[in-house]
Amino acid sequence: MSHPMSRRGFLAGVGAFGVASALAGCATSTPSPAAGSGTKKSAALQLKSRETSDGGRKAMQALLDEFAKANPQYKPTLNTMEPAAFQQQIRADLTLATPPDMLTWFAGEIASNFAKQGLLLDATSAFPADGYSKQFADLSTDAGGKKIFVPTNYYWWGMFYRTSQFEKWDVSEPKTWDEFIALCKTLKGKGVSPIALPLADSAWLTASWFDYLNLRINGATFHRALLAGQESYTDPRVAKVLDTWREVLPYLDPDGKGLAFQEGSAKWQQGKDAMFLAGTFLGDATPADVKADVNFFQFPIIDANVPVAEEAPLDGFIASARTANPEGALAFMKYVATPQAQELYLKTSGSTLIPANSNAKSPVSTPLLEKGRAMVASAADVTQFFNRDSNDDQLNALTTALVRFIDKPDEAGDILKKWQDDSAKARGN
Amino acid sequence: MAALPKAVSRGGPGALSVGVRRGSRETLVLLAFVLIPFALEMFWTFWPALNSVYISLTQWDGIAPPVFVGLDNYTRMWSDETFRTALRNTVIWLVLFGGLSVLGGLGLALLLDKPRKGIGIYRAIFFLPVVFSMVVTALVWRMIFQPDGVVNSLLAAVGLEDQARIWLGEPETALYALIVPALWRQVGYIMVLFLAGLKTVDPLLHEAAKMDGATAFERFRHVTLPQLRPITTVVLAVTVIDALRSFDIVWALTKGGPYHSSELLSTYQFSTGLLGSQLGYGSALAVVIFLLTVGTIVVYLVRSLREEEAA
Repeated sequence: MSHPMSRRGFLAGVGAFGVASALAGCATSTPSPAAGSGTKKSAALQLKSRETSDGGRKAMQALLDEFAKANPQYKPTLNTMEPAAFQQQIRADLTLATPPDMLTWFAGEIASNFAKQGLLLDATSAFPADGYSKQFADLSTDAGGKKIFVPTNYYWWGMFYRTSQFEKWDVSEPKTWDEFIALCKTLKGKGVSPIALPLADSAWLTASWFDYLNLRINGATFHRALLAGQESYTDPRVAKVLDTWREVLPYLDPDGKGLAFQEGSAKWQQGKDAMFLAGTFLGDATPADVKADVNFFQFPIIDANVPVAEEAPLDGFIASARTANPEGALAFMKYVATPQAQELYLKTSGSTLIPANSNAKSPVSTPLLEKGRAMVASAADVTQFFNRDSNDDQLNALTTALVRFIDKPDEAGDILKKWQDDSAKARGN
Repeated sequence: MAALPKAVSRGGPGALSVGVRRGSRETLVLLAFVLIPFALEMFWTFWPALNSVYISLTQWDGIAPPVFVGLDNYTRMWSDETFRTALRNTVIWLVLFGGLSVLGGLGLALLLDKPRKGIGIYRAIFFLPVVFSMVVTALVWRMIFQPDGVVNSLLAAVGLEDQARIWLGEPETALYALIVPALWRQVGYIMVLFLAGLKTVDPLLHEAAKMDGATAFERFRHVTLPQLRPITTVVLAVTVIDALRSFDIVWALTKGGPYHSSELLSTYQFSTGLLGSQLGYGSALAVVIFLLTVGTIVVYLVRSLREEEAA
């Protein structure tokens, strides 16, 4: 009778298990930053990207290839992950002992919050002195004055419409809120549904309406304070935002709450809905022959005394504070800040984005792109987007409140109370 | 870890005679057969589960060290309107989804039990939805429920336009509109379980009952049902578990919206603990789901065991 299993092997197994469970005991603790990275120089560099579109992936790879050509001592690799999963995992990624070295990310509270926790590499040395506007440089800086983010491109939000449809209906772009309401009325009179707002899978789009109305009525300073929890949603100034929005509710496509984003944008594209408050990604999803027909106007001015702010979400890169190869990560950050890298990226990806470095030229300059660039450049202030300026828990509280408001505008007071409650609870964690 | 050296010395060589050693060797192998699966189970299942119980007593965002807050997360639930909605919806889901799928599955199994021409095709048709991935099912039903989709077109065709609504977009109908596709899938599954159970029913008993003048219903009630008891236990356990872990169809179609009206505990737990950064509160919700599942099943098992003993 032979027993292939030795006692020693068995005990070793138990020992290994003991070690493993001891490690698992650290489920809630974060490992300290990798020590001794200076002794052993690593050549490997991993870029974790959330750009899953065909163009986006190719463009990321092109960046890495060019970077490796200029810096042959590094071996960069690309790891692409679907955006929702990426966003969900990034907190775990940044606290790993061997994290991805560089990651695609956004400017705003969403980045400075990581910096506050000491998770981001100080990229001050990689940040160019020249090329970035003061607004963009400020958005890349943490509370302690360190640069923690390198912006590469941005897009803008606006009221998108199709030029040919506006001509057909014989209407033109409104400038002010009153003109906008009049336009909605005219369109509805012609049997056209004025505004698309698909909510089935994209209730987050309501945040764009809230952001813009709050920016136009109360200004960017109040908006930021509100998102940071220094002001309350029960403030009469927030109630005024909902009151103003209420004027538009009759002009929203009533089918919107049953439509997914794809279906809603198709309806807008076919001219069944006239206008769509969206980012440039809306136009990117249209077929080539429609693209030239896509146009937008600035969100109407409500109070001429409030300095104009626009939403211009900045995309770019962060590097992990725990990277085993900080020199390599910084070299990459330095490279992506250059005009050449940003032009290369936009040329390869083909998206309607504007390079963040003002010395970079848009490789495919369209009238739409120039209109967007001019609008953002002339803005007195720039915000990112509700969840980039706060976080996803806050966005959750917002969508609950605003989707209910669309359904039951009479319950505004109760809705705001609950919103404040949800927001405070999420902040307390 | 500290116990390990002791274990080594206890089994150390020289302490035991050769004969005893051979015996202890066998014991060790047997122990290994028990302990290794136990250890794996401990490590991959129980340990994370215990961890989430611990996390549920803390306030944790996934990055900063967790802060121990005792039962705060649990007391917060009682003042959380969304939690109450989710709990109520989960109970509705358990009753409607669970009840209707068991009744429907049993009914179909009884109908499709007797061998006759083309019966295989009918069984296949009802079982087909089980084969589809939940995401595909969701896509199909999204189209059916669309504002100008099949349901509303059918209503319009029979002159009930005024009953047309945005099924998934209105808080009054969203939850019930979600139960339909979930049932559509589950009924076929339960049917197959009951079909297997019906094969064990002794036809002689039926014949004897018929001879004694029992009606079809009496035979079902007093001959078929008692013999289905073992399979019914399985079906109920499966149904309770499936009902409480229902997530995919809800997430794919409404994400718990509009404004939490179709929220289940599972979707609420996912959006607070995983998509958001409230891991403490999310874990507390997970613990509640766990207790609900185990509680329901234990109550049922205890009852059916007692009945069996009494019988």
